Amino acid sequence: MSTMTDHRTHTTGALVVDNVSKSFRGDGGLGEPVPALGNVSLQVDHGEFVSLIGPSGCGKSTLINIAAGLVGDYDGAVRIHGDRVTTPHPGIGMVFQEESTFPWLTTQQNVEFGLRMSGVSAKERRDQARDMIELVGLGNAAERYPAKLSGGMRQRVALARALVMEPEILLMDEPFAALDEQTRMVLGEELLRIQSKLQQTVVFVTHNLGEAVQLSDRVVAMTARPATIKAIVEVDLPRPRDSSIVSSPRYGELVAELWSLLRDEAIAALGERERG
Amino acid sequence: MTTITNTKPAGPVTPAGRRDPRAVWRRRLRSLRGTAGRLVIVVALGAVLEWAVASGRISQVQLPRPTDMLRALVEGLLDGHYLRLLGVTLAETGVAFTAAAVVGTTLGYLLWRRPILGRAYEPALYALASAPIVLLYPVLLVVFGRNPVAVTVLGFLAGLLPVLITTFQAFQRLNPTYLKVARVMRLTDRQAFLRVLLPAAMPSVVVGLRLGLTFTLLNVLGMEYLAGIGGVGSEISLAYTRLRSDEMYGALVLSIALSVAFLLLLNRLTERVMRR
Repeated sequence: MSTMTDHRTHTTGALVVDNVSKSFRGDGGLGEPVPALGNVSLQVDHGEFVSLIGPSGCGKSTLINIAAGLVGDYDGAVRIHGDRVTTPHPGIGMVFQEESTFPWLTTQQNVEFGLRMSGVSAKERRDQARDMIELVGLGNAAERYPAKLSGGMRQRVALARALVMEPEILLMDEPFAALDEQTRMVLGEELLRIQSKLQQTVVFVTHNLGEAVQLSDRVVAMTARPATIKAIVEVDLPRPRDSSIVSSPRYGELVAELWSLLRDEAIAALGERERG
Repeated sequence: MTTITNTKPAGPVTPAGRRDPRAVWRRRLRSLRGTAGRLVIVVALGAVLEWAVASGRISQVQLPRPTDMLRALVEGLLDGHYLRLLGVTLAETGVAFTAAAVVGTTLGYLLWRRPILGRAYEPALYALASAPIVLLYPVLLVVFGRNPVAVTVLGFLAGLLPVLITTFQAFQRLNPTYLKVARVMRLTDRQAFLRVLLPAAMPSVVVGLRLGLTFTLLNVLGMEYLAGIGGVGSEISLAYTRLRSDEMYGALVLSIALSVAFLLLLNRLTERVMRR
């Protein structure tokens, strides 16, 4: 039996989400406010891998966008080093679900991009990017343009581009959602390896329960709109992990537990969408 | 059961990522063959016309022999008269197009950057773009006089609209994730514009520039013809009124050569931008 912890809030920790709410107005800002997030509190510790799961459209991405500083107007506080986040924080790196590699740059140039913009010397950024490209397993594709790479390889480029900046917190918004199941498994495994090597703090949004269990230290299950935290499930699977973990009985139990938490929410969310 | 398939690297790229020189040669040979094929068609058509005119099936007044057209063309080129005309047309087109490119891309960007301007002017722009701009020529004659400046202004106006509209659309269709990447990386406005927005929009902007150059050239030649001022177009009109059909066709061939030269130039330019 896994432990379900209370929704704790501490003042330390890499990322502190303190009583955050957010509403959107429809009809070009003139309609009734629709709540997307309701009083969410959460703390992510240094080196921790936390996944957010919930029914689609529940507001997981809203939360991660607030943490990224892309949504500045919200209630409550997301804090990094005690500072309330309203614009992108320098300690944040982000990987998106959608295509985000720059098609006019090679893998090497894509990964160097952030370093170049922040004024790192040519030699230094070449070496750092080179190492990161090796780390994500793209050593032989450094000079290729994204058009010549598969979807999975492009996501590796996006991951390397974020990691090379050595972010304190890596935010990943459904990064593998557009990939096929096998690629997703392989990339999940790669991410585990990279994360254990770099001790990277990661907040990972997904709607894939197995992926959440495979990767995370804790999984935050969210309710249907407006999203609140329903439960936080500690994943007590041993590390280091690889994809073989999916055959362990404990993995199956944890996925089942998450599903039992989410089932009603998923149905509620579906009903809401069908009602329009 | 295991199936072993023969996996050969596809395409002209060797495993080391270098281009295979044989494949490059094969491609060059193919493109050379294409050019030769097109030349054969032109020469064959010329031969048919030559025969039709020489045998009296087509009157010499309507159509001179292709060899006579060529003689007029070569004579015109040798005595420097055609070169002078070409110079005038090229100068008008060059100035008009450069101005259209600079003003069009800037205004297109501004319309996107200030959505209220975009919403206000978009319908008017589409309406103007389908209007026969060339009919403004009497107005321009009155304002600027019978000189190449009037021609240049018309060329500018004709090229401006396609450049402006495609630039506006190029920015509208930008992948919004690129903008998020730029924000999370905390790029300055200048960096975001030069390093992300501009290269991302470039392939579509180039399409607009191609259109713009074509429109500019067409309108420059058209107004030269209609008003009898400037370069190649005025020569066609002069030869036409003098019933010198060999000279008229010679100048026509000259203007076609000019368009083809521009087209090849643009293809090269597009290839460079689209190579990725």
